[in-house]
Amino acid sequence: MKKKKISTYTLILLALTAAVILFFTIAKGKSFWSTDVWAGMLVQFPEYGCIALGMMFGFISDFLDLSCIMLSNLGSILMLNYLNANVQEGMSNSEVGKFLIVGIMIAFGITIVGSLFNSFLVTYMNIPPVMATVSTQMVWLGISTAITHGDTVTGVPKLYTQIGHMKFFGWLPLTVLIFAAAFAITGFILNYTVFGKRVYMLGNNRKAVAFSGINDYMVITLSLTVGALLSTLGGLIMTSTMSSAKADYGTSYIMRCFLILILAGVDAGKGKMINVLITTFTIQIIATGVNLFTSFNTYVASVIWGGMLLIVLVLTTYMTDDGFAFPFIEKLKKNKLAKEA
Amino acid sequence: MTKSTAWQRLTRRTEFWIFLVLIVAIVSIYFVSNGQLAEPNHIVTILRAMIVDGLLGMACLIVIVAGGFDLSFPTVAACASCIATSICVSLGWSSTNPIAGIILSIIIGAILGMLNGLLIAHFHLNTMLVTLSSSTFFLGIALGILKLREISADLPNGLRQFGEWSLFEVSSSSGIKSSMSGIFIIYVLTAIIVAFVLRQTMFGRALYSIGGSEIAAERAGYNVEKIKFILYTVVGAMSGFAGIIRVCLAQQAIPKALLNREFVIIPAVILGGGSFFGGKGTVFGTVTAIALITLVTNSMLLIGVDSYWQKFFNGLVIIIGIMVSSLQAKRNKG
Repeated sequence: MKKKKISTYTLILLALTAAVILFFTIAKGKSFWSTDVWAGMLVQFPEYGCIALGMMFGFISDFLDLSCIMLSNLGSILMLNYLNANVQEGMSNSEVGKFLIVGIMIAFGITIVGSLFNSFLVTYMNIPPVMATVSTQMVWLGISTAITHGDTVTGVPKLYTQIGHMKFFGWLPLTVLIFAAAFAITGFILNYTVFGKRVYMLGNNRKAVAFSGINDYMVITLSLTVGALLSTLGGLIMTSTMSSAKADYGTSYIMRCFLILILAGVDAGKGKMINVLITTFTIQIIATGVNLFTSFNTYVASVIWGGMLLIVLVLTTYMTDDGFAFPFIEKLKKNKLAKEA
Repeated sequence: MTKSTAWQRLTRRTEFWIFLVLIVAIVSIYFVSNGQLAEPNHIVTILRAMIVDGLLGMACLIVIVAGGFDLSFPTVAACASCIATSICVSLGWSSTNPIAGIILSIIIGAILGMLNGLLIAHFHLNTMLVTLSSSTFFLGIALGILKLREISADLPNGLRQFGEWSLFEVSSSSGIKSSMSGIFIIYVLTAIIVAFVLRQTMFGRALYSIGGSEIAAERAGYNVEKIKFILYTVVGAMSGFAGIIRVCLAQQAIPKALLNREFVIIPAVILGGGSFFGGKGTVFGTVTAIALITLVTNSMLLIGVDSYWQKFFNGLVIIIGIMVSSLQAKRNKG
């Protein structure tokens, strides 16, 4: 059997990551290679990494869910309200733990309800997913704003914060392991299950899927639900890290998630897990590196993120499986071949 | 095959129903608010509030008609107008005529729109992804690199006086005075011009054609790439115009003012008869839908709804609107 080769594109991404690390090493030297910085990276990326994994389902199936972050915020808010009402000072850890589990179930539960509504709009009502999720995003944001009056919800039980900040061996955050598990599950679902194959097929040609006798409504619903659940997982990590929940948290993560997925070549009908893993690290390194330039405020960072995404989008038009095919390079190649012939 | 009557043709159009909903909304809010809706100063306030959203709605309409999905036009509006205002302030421009400021904002908006146009028309990229990134990019440039600050006290005279242009004054029964802004006339004129361009010019027809089917439009002889590029430039220019009108009306230039406005305006255009896939949409429908949303948003205090529920009701109206729109599309197809 032919041994699986590492695709050229993966090698390009690895080279890109190396180049980014080199850039920041030259630019920032010692401050880039401090343990604090790298420890910080490990804490940050699981949050939006899980959201990116969730969005992967949306990208691949071509049924993008833009409302996932707002939905996960709503879940976190409802969970915290529940916990605030039930957890008192001085409760034992096992009692708090029981409430926590119920709370997390509430968050996942509302995610499922929201995804079912999204899927109803997208399947039975035939509304394009972008349009539908843009509108449901407003509804989730509206409900969250109405419940919280726009304020931040606090009162996170200590146990929850402790779990979120727990580190193994002194440096490996639990959240990284959670992300690793989510990554493994996503990889398993997408690569080894029938449902996963159908998600790819959906993105390739929805009509063909329907005509193949596959229940495309079911695949779409499952894809949206699993994607949203993964995003909520990221949201729960966020709630623990920030010890609070608010209606509009995480909106800045959308840019990063898009970059992670688009840079990884995830598109309708295609997307490789290994590329997503590499680009998650690339984007995290860029985020940390940009942060080190203290003269850059968040808006300059926006310019960098927005500009990067635009450049990446342009580059993807020249992307093939064997690397990049730029017009002038192709022309040079053709001229060379013509001369040799 | 039976010939459809005029009434049948009328009731098939989304614009008819949204207009009906507007009438129903006006009547019900009138009764629920115990007649307060008819207070002259409230009517004037609502009309004034409609202007900027309506202008943005028209910019959005032409994109949706052509099948695109521009998420950056409010950001372009805010950034172009703030850049223009900053330039006016730093040049010490003191004319009482707003024309220079308005034209400057339109030009800057057109330039920003050209970037969108280049990426979408030439590279054939997904409109949503491109405009999402470009809106972050523009806002970042405005606030991070150009470091635009909020301008209110030193707003140029020309813009200030234009914003204060009042046709007549009305006062409510409790003695509050409001002025009917003359800019409303400009809004109406713009609506008429855009409607004319969409329906009667070859460019407008080309937009509908491209929205209906790009391939068919290409085969019919339209230079789709060139038209799309012009389209996004025009959208940028219109957004710049809307932005500077907002600066005049609000008497402030705030770059973040119109943040996330696209999530209200795009659904409004769909509500007013635009199709998600392009090829349909009218100015009348857009204007009516914007009027409906402005009415509902501004009357919530009158009806006694907690302002925190505003976002939710907006979202609800929009969801109902797109559901109705899609049901209608299904009914018309079958």
